[in-house]
Amino acid sequence: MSEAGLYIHIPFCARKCPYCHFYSITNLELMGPFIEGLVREMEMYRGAFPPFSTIYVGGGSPSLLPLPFIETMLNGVFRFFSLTRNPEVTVEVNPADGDRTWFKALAQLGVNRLIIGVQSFDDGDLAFLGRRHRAEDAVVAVKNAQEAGFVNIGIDLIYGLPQQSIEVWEDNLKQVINLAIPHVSCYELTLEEGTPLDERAKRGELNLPDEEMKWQFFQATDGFLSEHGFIHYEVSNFARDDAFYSRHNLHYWQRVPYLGLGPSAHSFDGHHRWWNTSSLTRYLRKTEKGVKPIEGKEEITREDAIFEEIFLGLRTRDGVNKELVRHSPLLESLLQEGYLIVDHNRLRPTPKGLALADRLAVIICPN
Amino acid sequence: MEGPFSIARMMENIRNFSIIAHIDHGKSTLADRLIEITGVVEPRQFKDQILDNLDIERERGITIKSQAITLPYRARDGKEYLLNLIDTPGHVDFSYEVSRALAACEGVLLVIDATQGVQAQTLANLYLALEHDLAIIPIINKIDLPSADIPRVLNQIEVELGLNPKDHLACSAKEGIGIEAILEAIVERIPPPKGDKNAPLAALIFDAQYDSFRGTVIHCRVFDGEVATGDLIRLIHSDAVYKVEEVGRFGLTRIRRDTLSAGEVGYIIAGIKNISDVQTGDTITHEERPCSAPLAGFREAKPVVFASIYPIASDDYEDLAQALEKYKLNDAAFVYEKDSSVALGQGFRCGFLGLLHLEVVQERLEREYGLSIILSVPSVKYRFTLRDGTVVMVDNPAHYPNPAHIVKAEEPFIRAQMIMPDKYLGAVMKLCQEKRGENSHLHYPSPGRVELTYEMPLSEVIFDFYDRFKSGTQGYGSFDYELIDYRESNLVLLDILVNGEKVDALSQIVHRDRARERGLLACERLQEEIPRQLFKIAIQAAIGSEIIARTTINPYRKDVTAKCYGGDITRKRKLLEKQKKGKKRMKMIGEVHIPQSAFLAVLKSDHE
Repeated sequence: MSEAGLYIHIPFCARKCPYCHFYSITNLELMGPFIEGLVREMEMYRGAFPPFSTIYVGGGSPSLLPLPFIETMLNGVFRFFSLTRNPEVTVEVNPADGDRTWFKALAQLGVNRLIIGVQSFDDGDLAFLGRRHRAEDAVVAVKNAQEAGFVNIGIDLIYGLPQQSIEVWEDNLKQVINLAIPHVSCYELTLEEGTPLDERAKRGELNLPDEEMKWQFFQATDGFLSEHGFIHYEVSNFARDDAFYSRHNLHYWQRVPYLGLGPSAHSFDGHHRWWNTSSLTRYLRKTEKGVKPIEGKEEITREDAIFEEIFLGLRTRDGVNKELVRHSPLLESLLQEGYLIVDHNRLRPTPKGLALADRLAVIICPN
Repeated sequence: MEGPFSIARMMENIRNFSIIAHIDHGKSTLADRLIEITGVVEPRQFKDQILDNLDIERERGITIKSQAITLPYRARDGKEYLLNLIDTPGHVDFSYEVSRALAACEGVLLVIDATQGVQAQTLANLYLALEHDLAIIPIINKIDLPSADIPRVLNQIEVELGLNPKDHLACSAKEGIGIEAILEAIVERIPPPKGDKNAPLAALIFDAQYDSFRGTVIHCRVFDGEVATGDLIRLIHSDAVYKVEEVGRFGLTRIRRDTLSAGEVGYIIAGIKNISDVQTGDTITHEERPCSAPLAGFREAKPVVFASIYPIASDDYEDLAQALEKYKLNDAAFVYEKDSSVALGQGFRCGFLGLLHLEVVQERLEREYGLSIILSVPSVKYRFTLRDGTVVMVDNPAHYPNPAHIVKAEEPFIRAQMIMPDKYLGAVMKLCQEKRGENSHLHYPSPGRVELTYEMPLSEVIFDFYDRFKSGTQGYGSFDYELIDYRESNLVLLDILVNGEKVDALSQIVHRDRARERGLLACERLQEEIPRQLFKIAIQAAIGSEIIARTTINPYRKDVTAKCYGGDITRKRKLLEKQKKGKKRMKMIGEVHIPQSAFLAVLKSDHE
């Protein structure tokens, strides 16, 4: 059952959000050349990967792409790659862009899953985050998607904003229930080096929650969503049932091969990891010449692979194979303290363990 | 091959000298200028402080190991001279190294900072030079600085050092001013070595280094006779015989010669693989025609601070043993023996000249030998008289006698000599009182400056005294000390427990009046140094079964990256690898990871 995932990075945004460090530019005129380059890059990887069972179009803001570009892109995928039966095809959507005809057209092109970048249902939060949509737009976008026939819909939310209270945050989660959304990602606001938000934090302008408070958010989120029937299947991800898990993201956590196309995208073939240049200009120059736009590459040693399996596995409810970890008094204590449980020969993190998944991985890694 | 060195090798054309000074008065910079001006090295190849070739010396800007180099110089009298410069360290912990260097010399340059004037180690070093009966040339350095006060320093040279101020030279080593005159003074005022080239060989080992290709490289001063390649030599004290493979002089690298004769300073390589055979201070002579008696003049280094060294990973024990053996060759003042700890396993008990010496050893073992080590809490050597009348010396808290058997406890005292501007006197006296100082004496060597002596327990001085003295005098105070005697004291053994487990390497012997304060301080230091973990950690200080202080470290609650960015697993793995590396540098006590830094931190400043 050899399969792989395909990620396509759309490096365009109408404007840059102050917390985001993903590669994107605001010169939308380069969309045409980009799509041409993208198709050329696809051609260079023809036959290199097993059939794709998931396709994920992320960014940037893919929803800025006019429909003909999306069509060209997806046609490229169908032309150069083979797919498994019933692939998951996801597109990320900015709530400001989600009108009904666009959604309908996407569905007709074969897209069957949408991730809507809501971030918050509070206008104050959205202003702080520098988003170009309002809370109302988010609600409308979700409803439009549903009316266009999408069932597999996820939204992204961010918690841990300055002065945010648990109660205010829970209002966001209530909206997930009210709107009957089957998948939600709840990300803690993370300061990324070099972003405007990070600069503000360094100047001491932001009253961000301390670790104890972050744990309170995490716990409240887990509690609320569990009560409403969601499965906390990864550190930041919740789904109504396993049919709504992000199959594409599971590839990352389960070390299934994936190909990343577009500037700054990352790929993994089981033995190597490589990543594309984070410059659209360079990307275009290289693809034009028929050269893969790779900026760096590394070989994954056996030791690396084991460590990856542990730290990625511990991010998920599925955990890691118990055989990978040496039995020790320390492990015994971790079980006793309720960070991990043993289930079907796997070590699975509890919610308390998920909140410290990285630390757990470092501690129990045998090498 | 010998280039500038191929000049007459008459003893009257040789000068052996050292540079001595208080720390930071610029002796290494002066050495650099002398080397530069005599053309041993092209200016463009010049790295500052060329003799300080240990990384740690360059970083800290201090000289720890003494180094030797031969400078060829054509004097104004038209003759060619060989000037053998032996660089010396300046810190109070290293006066032993200074004395070894001085035993190989006929004269010294006594460097005094024009802005700082005479300091405690200026005096201490001067006394050492006088003990060796050396010619002394006072040099006032840093005369280019706006705050230079030459008249004041001249007055100090006369009043405080008892030297003739007319003998002084002034220079700026940094700017290269006055260097030529110093070279002339070395030739004119330092006597040439005496000795008989035809007498039986007598050479003094003043330093040694280990070269992984050639074995031990002996640094020596030949007093009588001559040594050549192929000679059979005997190291008198070690009673070992070797065949000489190579002799030569010190340029910036080793410069091979056929012989080394009376009066000269150089090196001998004799295929010595057994490094314990070479002891600094030993005399080298010929096997066939030995000298009648070994040379005198070396003072034995007595360690005063003791601590145990353990490898973080117990697999590294053998590597540590080898590293110590090699290291010891390069640092005669360092002593060690096997030791073991319940908490930390197999290790070594080591003796040091002081706390800086200890830190230097730790850093050099880590940098030069790639070891990760842990040091136990340093201790002085205590004396206990037991009920049955036996007297035991204890430098390791693990060997603390059963308290019920102790009838008398004594600890070593020092006489501290401190010189400072008088406005800092109040602060320093307060510090000394707090450190259980007694019998103070005050002396005003010149207006505005005060010389203060105190008798203090050595244990108080190794505990955080020097840093606080420095900050209390804003860096203008200088400090030197000598051991005087043992005095009766009320001592207890203070244990530290981490999650209920005693960490024997953190135990300390302390004065009873100090126990609570020191216990709490240790708990607080450990609370700061031990990173939070996944469990709550209780840290306690105890005397016997009585808990006298405690702190706790709360566990992590949430610390996980929110997402794996678009499949960028590489970045995430690298981030976590760093944490993993950090973990490897910590020691597991029960389930708690304790970083190296925690062990030394227990002794460090209670005053930020």
